[in-house]
Amino acid sequence: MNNYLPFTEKTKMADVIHMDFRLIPIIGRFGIDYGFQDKTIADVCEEQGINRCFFLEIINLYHNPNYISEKQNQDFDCDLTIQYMLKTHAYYRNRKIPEIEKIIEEMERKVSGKNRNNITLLKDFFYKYKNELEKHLSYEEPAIFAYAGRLKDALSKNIYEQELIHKIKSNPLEEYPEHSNLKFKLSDLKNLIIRYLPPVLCKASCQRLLIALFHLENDLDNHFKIEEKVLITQIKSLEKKILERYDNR
Amino acid sequence: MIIDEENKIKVIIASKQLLYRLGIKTIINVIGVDPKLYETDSFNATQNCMNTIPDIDFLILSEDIIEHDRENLLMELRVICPKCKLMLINNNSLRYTSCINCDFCSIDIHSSKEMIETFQFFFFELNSKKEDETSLLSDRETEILKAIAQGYSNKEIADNLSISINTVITHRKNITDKLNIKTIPGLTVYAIMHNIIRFNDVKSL
Repeated sequence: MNNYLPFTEKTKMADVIHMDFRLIPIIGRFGIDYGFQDKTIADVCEEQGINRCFFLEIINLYHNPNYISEKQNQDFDCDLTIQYMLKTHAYYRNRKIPEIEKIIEEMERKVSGKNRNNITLLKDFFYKYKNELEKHLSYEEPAIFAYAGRLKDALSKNIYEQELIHKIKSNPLEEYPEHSNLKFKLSDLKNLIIRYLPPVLCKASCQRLLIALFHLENDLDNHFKIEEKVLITQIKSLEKKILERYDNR
Repeated sequence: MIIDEENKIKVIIASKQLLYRLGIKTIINVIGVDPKLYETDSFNATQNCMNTIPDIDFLILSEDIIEHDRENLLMELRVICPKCKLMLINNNSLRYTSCINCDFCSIDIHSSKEMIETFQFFFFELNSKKEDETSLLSDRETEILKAIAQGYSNKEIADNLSISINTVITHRKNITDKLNIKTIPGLTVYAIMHNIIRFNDVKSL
């Protein structure tokens, strides 16, 4: 299979993982277990009750940074997107961030002399980064996810409160809050280690740290991409639909 | 070489053998280096010395004190003082590095002339190279990096150095490009790691 072609519903599930093992945690987020035999993506999604379009959109966005989704592929409920986003938030908070913190603390214990200060600096840096990330995550949960929920709710009940209409008209969701600062900081941390950290004795920990940082960066990039390319489009179309219905009452 | 007692280069001579240490001292004297000298006769003593005296410039190590587990012991010394230059001596060769982390360059010694030349090379030639390697940034850029790390704004830096804001911005861009570090906290960590500012001078990352 050509590495640059997007995955389709006919792609064998086993091939997906062979092609890009970084997708393992992503597929895990959907609650999919292994033992695929020769099943295709379509088979597995049907068996497990997963929306096929949504699944394809997520893994393709992750696999190929230049993937351009087509409109008809985005035909799924924004609840799915939000649930997935919440799962990735939990993954960062409960798995990835503690994992990285643990490695840094381990290194801090193992290094001696001058280099201990350097590791402490990296630890402080990551701690600040973690707070900033947490601020971002806990901002978007009410401001974006809950807002999307309100829009959907209004549409399904066909009740449009003045306040909501006012908000859509005066302050629609134009763009997602800035992500670049979070991206730059993570890349700085990697560079401080790769380019400038004097040699440490605990090489194995240091390698694990770098790999974990690359994983986190990859995953966040994908997360931000889904926000920017999928969720925003969905929320905008909800806003538009509400205004149309409101005007045509 | 520099005369000021404070700024004298710091050299450790580490060997079990008194005669080795005396011989090395003589050679250093002959080639006209006037360092602050520290002598040690075991691995532990060398390690302690490097831990208590910061920024040792040269370490001349006879292999008799690292007979067992040589690579690991050397690695431990590297960690304490990564910028220190190292010379390893055994019965028939001299090996030295331009910094403690670089690969060794090995010299077989056949005459006292070769011996002295090697020492001269070790102390003088590579000195200039070492400076090139550590100063990725120009003096002006280092000055500006220091101000950024201390939390000054572009405007404040421009006023303090009597240059235009645009010049400050250009310098900042060059610093970021050279170091591959974009954010202020990242630059601050770099500055502390490279002794451009002290940890205590930083309000927060």
